[in-house]
Amino acid sequence: MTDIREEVLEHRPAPRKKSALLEWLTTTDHKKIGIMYLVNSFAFFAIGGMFALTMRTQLAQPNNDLVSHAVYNQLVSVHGTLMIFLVIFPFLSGFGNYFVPLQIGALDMAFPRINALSFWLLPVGGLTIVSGFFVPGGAAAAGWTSYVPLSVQQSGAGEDLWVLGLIIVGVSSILGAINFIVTMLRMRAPGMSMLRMPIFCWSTLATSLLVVLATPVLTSGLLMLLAERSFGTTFFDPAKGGAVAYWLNTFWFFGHPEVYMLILGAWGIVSEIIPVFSAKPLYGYKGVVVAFMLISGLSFSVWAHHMFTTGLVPNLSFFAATTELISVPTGVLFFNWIATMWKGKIRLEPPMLFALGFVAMFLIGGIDGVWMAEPAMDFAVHDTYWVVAHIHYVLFGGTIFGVMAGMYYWFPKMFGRVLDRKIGYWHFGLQFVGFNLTFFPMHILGLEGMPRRVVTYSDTGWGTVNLIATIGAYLIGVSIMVFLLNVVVTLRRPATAPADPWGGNSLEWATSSPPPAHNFDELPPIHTYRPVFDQRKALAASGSRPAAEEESVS
Amino acid sequence: MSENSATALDHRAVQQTSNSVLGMVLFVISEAMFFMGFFAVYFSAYASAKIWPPRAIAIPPIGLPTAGVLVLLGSVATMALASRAGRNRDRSMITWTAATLVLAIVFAVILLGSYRGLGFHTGTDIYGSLFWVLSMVALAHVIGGIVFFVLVLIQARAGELEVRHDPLQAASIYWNFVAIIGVVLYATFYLANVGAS
Repeated sequence: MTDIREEVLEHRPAPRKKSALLEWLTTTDHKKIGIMYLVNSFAFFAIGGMFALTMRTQLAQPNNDLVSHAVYNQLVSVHGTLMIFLVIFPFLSGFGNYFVPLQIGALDMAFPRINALSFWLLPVGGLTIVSGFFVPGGAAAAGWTSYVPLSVQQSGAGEDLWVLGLIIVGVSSILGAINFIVTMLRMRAPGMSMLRMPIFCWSTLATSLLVVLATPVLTSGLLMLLAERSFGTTFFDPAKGGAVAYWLNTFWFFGHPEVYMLILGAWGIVSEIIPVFSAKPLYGYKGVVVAFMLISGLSFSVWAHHMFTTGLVPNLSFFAATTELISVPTGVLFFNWIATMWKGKIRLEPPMLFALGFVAMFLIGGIDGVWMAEPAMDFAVHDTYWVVAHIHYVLFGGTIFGVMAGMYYWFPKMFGRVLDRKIGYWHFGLQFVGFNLTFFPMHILGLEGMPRRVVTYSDTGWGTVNLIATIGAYLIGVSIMVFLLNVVVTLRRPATAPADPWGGNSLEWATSSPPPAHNFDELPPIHTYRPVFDQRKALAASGSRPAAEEESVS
Repeated sequence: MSENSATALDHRAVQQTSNSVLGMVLFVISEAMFFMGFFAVYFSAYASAKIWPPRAIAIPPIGLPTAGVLVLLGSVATMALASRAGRNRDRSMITWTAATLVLAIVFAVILLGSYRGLGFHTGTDIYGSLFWVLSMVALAHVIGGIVFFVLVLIQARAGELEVRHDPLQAASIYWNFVAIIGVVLYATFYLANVGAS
C-alpha cells in the first residue's frame, strides 16, 4: 500500500505553472474555494440589493409607478430567492469552507474536487434563476415560495428557470453538506475530539445535517412543480386527485429547517467572536452544542406554522407549541452569550460590534417570531409587512450582521491584513442605523395592515413610514459600499497581520495569516477546545512572549 | 509537512471506513429523503382517495415488472459477491461487477419495456403523475448505477481496486439503495394492485 503511494509521489510530474486566473478557476484548495464562495455571495448580494432598492424606491410614496406590476412581482420573487439561496447560505458555506478545515486542524476538506463542484454549481444555478429576466414573460414572479397554482399558471420560461436553478443550487448545497460532515467526522487532527471542535464547526455540522435531510425534500417538490409545468402532471390539481397542500407541505418541510440553515452558521460565528473579545471562555460550550442539536431536531416539527391561515393545518396548537418550544434552546444561546460577556474584559473592535449588533437585532427578530407563533396573532399579521420585518430582523439583522462580524474577524486570516478599524466603525454605524430605519417601521406598517409583496398602495397615511424605510434602505446600500471601500483600502496595504491578531482560541490562529497551502507547518497540542489559548497560556507561564507576537508575517 | 500531520494521514489511511464510503452513506440518506417527498405525496393521495388506483387508471400488467424485480434482486446478489471478492482482493470482483452491470442494463431495458402501452399518462390522475415521475426518477437512478459500475470497472482494470476497496463498497451501498427503491416501487405500483379491478 505504502509502496504504491511512494511510487506515485516519486513519478508525479512537476506541477506546471498555471496563470493566476486558471489557478483560481481550477483550484481545489478549500481556502480559495471559501473565498470564491464569499465573492459569489457579494456578487449576488449586489444584484439582490439592487432589486431591493428598486422596490423600496417604488414604495417610497403612494401610487408610485416606477416599475410595473409584472416587473415588481419578478423583483420581489428573485430578490427573496437570491438573498436566501445565493447570498446568505453561501456566505456561511464560504466561511465554513475556509475555516472548518483550519479549525479542526485538517489539510483540506474530505473531498476537495467535490468541494470545487459544489462551489461552481452555485453561480450556474444563480445565473439560471437570474437569466429569467431575459426571456419572454420575465423571471419567476410567484414569490420565493412559488405557491401553486400561481407558479404553475405563470407563462414563460422564467418560472422553469427558477425551478432548474434551485435544483442546481440544492445539489450544490447537499454535496457541500456531505463534504462538511465527512470532513468533521473523519479529518480532525489527533487530539481534536468531537467535543473539542470549535463552536463554529458545530454550527456548520448542524447546518449540514439539516441540508442533507431537508434540501432533498425541496428537490422532490421542485421536480413535481417542473413536471406540473412541463409534463402535464396533476400533483397540485384538486380536480385530478392532487392538492395544493402537497406543494405547501414539501416546500415548508424544507422551508423551516432552511431558516435554521441560514442562522446556525451566524450563531457559530458570533459564539466564536464574543468569547475572544470578552477574554473569557464561551459560557456553557456543551450547552451551546446541545442547543444547536435540539434546535436542528425541533426545526423539522414546526413547518406548518407557515400555513396557519391556509386552513390545511389540522392542529394549530401542536405547531404553535413546537414553535414556542424551539425558542427555549434559542434562549439558552442568548443566555450563554450574555453570560460569556458578563464581567469580561470587553474590547469593542469591529467584529465584536457586529456580534453585539447581531445579538440585539436577532433578539428582536426572535421575539417577533415567538409572538407570531401564536395562531391568533399569526392570523392577524399573516401576509403583512410585519412578516417582512420579522424575516429581515432574523436574516439581515441576524445573519448578515453575523456574516459581517465574521468578515472583520477572519479577514486578517484570509488576506493577511486587518480591516481598517475606523472605516469599520462607520460601516457598523451606517448599517445598524440603516437597517433599523428600514425594517423597524415595517412592524408598524404590518400592524396597520399593509400587505406585503404589493407593488403600490393608496394614500392612506402609509407614505411617511414607507419613505423612512426607503431612506433606511439606501443607508444600508451606502454601508455596504463603505465595507467594500474598506476591503479595497485594506487590500492595498502591506500584509502585516500576525498569525493571531485578536488573541483567538481556535486552531485557525495557530498558522500564518494567510495560511500556507497545506494549512499548518505545525499543530499545537490539542487538549481542550481552545488549543491556541492553552498554548498562549503555557508560553506566558514559561516566560516567553506569546506566539502571536513572535510569528513573522508572510 | 510536519510529522504531526503526516502521522494523521497514515492514521486515517488504516481506518476501516473510508471517507468515500461515509460520503456515500450520507448521499444515500439524502436520496432517501428525496424519495420520501414523493412517497409522502403518494400516501396522502392514497389516504384521501376513495378508490385506489383511481378508476381512470388501467391497471398495468404485472408480468414484466416481476421479471424486472427478479433481475434486480439477482444484481443485488452479484453486487454482494463483487463486494466480498473486493474485500478479499480477489480478481473475481471484476467478473461479479461486470455481471452486476449487465443485470442493471437488463433491468433498465425491462423497465423501459414495461412502460410501453400503459393505459394512462402523466395527466390522467395524480396516480399517473406519481407513477410516471417516480418511474422516471428511479430509471435515472438505475442509469446512474450503470455509469457508476462502468467507472468502477475502469478503476478495476487499472488495478486500483487491488489497493483500495472503497469504490466497490460505495457502489454497493448505492446499488442496494436503488434496489430498495426498485422493490418498494414494485410493491407500490404493481403488487398492491393484485386483486384490484
